[in-house]
Formats: sequence, structure tokens, C-alpha cells
Amino acid sequence: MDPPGASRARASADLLSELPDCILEDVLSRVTSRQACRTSVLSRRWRHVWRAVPARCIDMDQSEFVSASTRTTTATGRPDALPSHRRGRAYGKSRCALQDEWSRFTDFADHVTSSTHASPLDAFRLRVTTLDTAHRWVRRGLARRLAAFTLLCDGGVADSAEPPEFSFAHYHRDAASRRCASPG
Amino acid sequence: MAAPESGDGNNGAARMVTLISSDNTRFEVEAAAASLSQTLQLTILDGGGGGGDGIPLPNVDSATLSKVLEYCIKHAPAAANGGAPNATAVDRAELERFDNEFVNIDQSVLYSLIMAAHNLEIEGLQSLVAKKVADMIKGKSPMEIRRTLGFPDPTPEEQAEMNAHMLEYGWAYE
Repeated sequence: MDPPGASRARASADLLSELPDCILEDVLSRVTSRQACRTSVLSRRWRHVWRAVPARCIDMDQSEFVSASTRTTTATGRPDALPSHRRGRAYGKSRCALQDEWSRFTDFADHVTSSTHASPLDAFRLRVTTLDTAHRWVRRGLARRLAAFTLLCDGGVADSAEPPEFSFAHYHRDAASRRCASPG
Repeated sequence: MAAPESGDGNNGAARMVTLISSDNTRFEVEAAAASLSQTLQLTILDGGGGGGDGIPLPNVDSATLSKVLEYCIKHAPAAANGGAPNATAVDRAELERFDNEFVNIDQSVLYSLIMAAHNLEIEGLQSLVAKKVADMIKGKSPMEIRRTLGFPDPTPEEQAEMNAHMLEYGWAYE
């Protein structure tokens, strides 16, 4: 029933899961925070690994919270320059869906940035459609001696043809790369 | 990193060192290549690894070590130039091509490599492999990740725990 090579792949996953936390954290710091979080359902081993990632790297992209249905709505209308929480008024039909998405994103961003970590951040990347609420997350990020900061504020719809309405801010400090302590 | 010309008594031929894998295979490489490992660099600067001695690496088997050294040998010239400010675009493109090919390997080999890179503190190699593994996760749902990485099916008990977890973290899953 298993496709050929399945048992081999199975062994690989076990090998991956056997790697020390700091290596898995290194891997997860290279995907967005939401994706890192989603690995927590892979197995018991992975349940808590992602939690350490926002201590060193935060990468939040609002467009990840846009579902296919609302994306179609905004794409068929004018590519929207309104902040998404106000956008609901312009598109009455999808108002609830948009507000849902927005609150899911803010919940997520609050959770990730309000973690008890006060450690310096290697990277903080934030992509949003509006700066209204983003100030709060940016302030929390900046309080943590960032090595690199990227803020992108645009239409928020990933495949929007509109150029970004807001320019791109990027800050980089020469960071001696920090290594995790070797186990044992 | 010691520049090749800094000449601590190694005029002419490049200084060689010997590394010994966990399964007792001896590898002779240029000191400059082995020095990409922060761990080995100190030993080598102290004059270790030369002559008949060799540096034992009890955590790295020969298959993994030969792969690690392939990377080090390829990257040593650029590293010796201190990040290669004078490297040409062609050189850089060639290294990039090499890197892409290099990580196009079995998952189990990738995991041995990242572990070895971690133990030997070869930063470039560790981030190359970490990036490759991250790419296998990127843009995938948990189910797709399971399939790609070959996770065993969860036990009913595990599944129940995960369902509870997904309720708690609903915002991450839509």
C-alpha cells in the first residue's frame, strides 16, 4: 500500500526529528512565523520546538491570512488600498470574512510579539496592509535590539498587480551570528 | 582565518592535515579547507593534524565527512579571500550552482550533513542545509509536510493531543 521508498522517507523523518532543538529552530527561523507554528502538529517532538523561534526571528506576513475566497473578492474589485479592517465596509458581502482574517492576523501577531522573550532578535520582518495596528508590533520588535528589520506595507494581496503603496524600510546591523550552544 | 601567504613555515606546497572519521577512514585535505570548520581551525592553528597524527572526528562517519570536505574544498578559496570582495560574478554564480547541486540529495544525507556542520561549526554549510530543509516545509500544510518528510501516522492518542492543540492555536490553521 505504501509507495516505494516510503519506509526510507519514514526513517528520514525520524532522523530529522532526532536532531537537536537548536538545529530545528535554525530551520524554522527560515520560514514565516505562522509556518513555524504550524509544525507543532507534526508530532509530539515538534510540539514545542517552534516556541523558541520568535525569541530570535519573527516573520509575519498578513497575506498568509488571506483566504482564497476573500482574495478573489478583492482581486475582482479594485485592488484595494484601504486598510483591510475598513475594507469590509467597501465590500459588504465579505465584510465578516475580512474581519475574521484581520482578527486572526492580529491575534497571531500579538501572540508572537508578546512572547516573554526579551532576547535580541536576529530578524524581524513584517508585511501588512496598514500601519495602524502595526505600530504596536514594530515597537515591541524595536525594543529587542534588532539585527535586521524589514517592514513592507502594501496592498496586502499577494498577487495584486498594484505597486506597493508604501515604500520599503530595511535596517541591518552587522550581527555577529549567534550560535546555539552545542548539546552535551 | 590564516591567509595563505602568512607563511607559518609552509612555503611552497599548501599545508595538509589529516582527519579521521568515526569509522577510521583517513582524509588528507588542505589546512585551508579544513579550517572552514571553526572547531578544527583552532587545532590546526596549534599545529595539529599534520604528520602521522590526524585529527579524530568521532561524531562524523566517512560518507558524511567526504561530503563535508567536498563543500569545504569548494568554498575554501572564497573564504580565504575574506568573503571574497574581489570574487567575480562568475565565481559567485559557480559557487551558487555548486551549492544548489550539493544539497540535491537524500533527506537522510541532508540530516547527517547538518549535524556534522553543527558539530564542526561550519557556518556556511549549516545555513545551506537549514535553508534546504526549510524549503521542504515552506508553503505546505502540516499534512503536506508529513507526506514530504515522511512522518509516520500519528497514534490516536497523539492525534487527540494535536486536535486539542489546533483548537488552542486556531489562528494558525484558519
